[in-house]
Amino acid sequence: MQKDIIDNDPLVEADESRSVGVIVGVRIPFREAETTEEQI
Amino acid sequence: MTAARPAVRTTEATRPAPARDFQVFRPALPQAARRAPHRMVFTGDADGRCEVFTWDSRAAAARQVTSRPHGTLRCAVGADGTVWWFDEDSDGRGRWMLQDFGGGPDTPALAGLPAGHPRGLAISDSGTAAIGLAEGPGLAEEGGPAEGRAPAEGPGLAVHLGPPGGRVEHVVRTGYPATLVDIAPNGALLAVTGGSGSAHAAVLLRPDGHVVAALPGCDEALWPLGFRTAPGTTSGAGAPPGTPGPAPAPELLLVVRSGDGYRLATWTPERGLRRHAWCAFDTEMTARWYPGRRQALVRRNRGGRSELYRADLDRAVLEPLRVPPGAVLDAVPREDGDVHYLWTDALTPPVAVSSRGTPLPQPMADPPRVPGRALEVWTPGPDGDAHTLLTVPEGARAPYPTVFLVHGGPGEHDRDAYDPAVHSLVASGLAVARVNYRGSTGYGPRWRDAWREGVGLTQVADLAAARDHLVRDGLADPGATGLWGTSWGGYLVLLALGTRPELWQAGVAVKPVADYPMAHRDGTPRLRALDERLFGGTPLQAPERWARSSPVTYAARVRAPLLVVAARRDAKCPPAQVESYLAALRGHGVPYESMWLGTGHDGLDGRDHLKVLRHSLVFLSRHLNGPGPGRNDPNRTATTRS
Repeated sequence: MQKDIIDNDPLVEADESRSVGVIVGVRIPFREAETTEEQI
Repeated sequence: MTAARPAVRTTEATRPAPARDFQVFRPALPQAARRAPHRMVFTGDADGRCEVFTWDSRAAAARQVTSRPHGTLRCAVGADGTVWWFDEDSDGRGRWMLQDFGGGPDTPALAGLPAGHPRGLAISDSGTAAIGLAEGPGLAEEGGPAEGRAPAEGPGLAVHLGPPGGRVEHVVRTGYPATLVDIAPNGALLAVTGGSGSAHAAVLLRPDGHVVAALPGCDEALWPLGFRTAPGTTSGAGAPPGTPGPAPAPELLLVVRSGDGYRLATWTPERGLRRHAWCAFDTEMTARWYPGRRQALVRRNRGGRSELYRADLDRAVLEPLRVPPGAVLDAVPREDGDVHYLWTDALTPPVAVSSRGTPLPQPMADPPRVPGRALEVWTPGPDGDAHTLLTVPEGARAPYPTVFLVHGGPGEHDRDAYDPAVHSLVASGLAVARVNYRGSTGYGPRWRDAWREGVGLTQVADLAAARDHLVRDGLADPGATGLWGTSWGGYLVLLALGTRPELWQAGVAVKPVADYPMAHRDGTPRLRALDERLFGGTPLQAPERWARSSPVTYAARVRAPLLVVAARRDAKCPPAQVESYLAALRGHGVPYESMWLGTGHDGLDGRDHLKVLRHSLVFLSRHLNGPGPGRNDPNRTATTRS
């Protein structure tokens, strides 16, 4: 059978945990020295 | 620190940050169709948002299925490749939809299905879809939740059953908060869980609602993981390859926590729960059935790194599978023996790998390596040594300005894994320490249960001890150590700034618990239950313990520059309790910066994450490095610090 991701196992207990499950990956890291006021 | 303290400053993040070179990803592998394994469905990046895609591994080609303003996260695939996706609103309520693998119109998965918060989806080989939705009064409020309170979920689970594309035929209700885990291949049994440590850890129900078995997790926690599937037929009867054969008798795979470790277990109606002592580990593990086999792929984490095994339940044999040192974020076995896994380490963004070379969609295109070195530190403590993953910038000299990046949970742990926050901090010349404090997973039940100084206070003690250790070893600059945490990690940041203000020079708390009793009042049923287990009672039953562990109690003592980021529709760390904390800071004349997002706890739009990442990075870098280019930035040309 097919299933939706439910995040219920000893490694990931999303429903019983205060943590965030979506990750942003950066291709180019944000360097503080290159970040402008408009960007923040 | 000599940097000037900011006045109270609030940013309402109503406009997304401009798109830049970034991607979102969910650390999960594609799901493959049972009868057509080359047809896969996954959540990937679409212009910075999470959206659902198909993947044809024969053609190594992807097709975007969904395109919605705020992204789409949940998906599944039917046995023939039909795409299932969850059409949710900004509060997370919605309906499951269907689309052909090759494209076409979207249609409701089940006619007559109400909108709701998703609590699991499973489709049996016999063609029954089981859709779990949270239900209850909290979900029926017209016009959304009351002002200042995040949308609540109701008390029960409703599992709607019917043929995909047809009408709802049965509804099974639990009456307690739960999640649908799976449906047996013959459609005759449902498995639901009310939480691994609850009285309803694993409950087996018939579609008419009759409870066949109820396994409590009060004495030994249980995690039901799924039913064994039938082998695919390869010939005869005119059935296409991969068509499931006769359904096996229901056999449920579980992980059981008992004593000092975790072990694999199975449940059948005839024999009940069987624990398999030959497949036991001293740290957390999870498992999945190989499709059509009585074998399971076991993934185990220890010390921030992962191991994979094939467990043969007929022969009671555990065979290790080779993976490089690092973390495996997800692993999926295939019927032909192929294993797909998502691998990463502290310096390498995740890559999807197939043991047999099947082309897989990659989470990131051309991922760059983190410009740093990975080190490890073990700090002695009263319950054992606390493990810190340390990443230091290339080309910079110790002692480093150091950010303690604090994980959430508490039932989570930092892995030897890529993190975009580490990436950006290290590229800006700061070292990053990720401490797997007591209560973290990945180090065994005793570490997970070590809370001797109290909720939060135990973890703050470990952060302080790790900081002292790094300072003593000449790695961390004692005048430039900061904290950055999200969710329960944000909670620890606030608690550390209030209880040990002398140690920290800056702090960023993203979507934190800030007023614990209030967070409990407004939180989800599952989180309320977790909190009551941690504190040994409700805020009314144990008010002193709750107050002692609540950041709002120590608001007047905060000295370090503080940035608080909160979300208006956050169900896990609701906005009202953050407002309460900020009001306490203002009442005591403590300056802070705040930033509000219009999202929920997760947020599917990468631009929101990006804005938080960028804002937090600049805030920490300026307070730890001083204004202007970071003093440890390898590309810096002048060394100045105010």
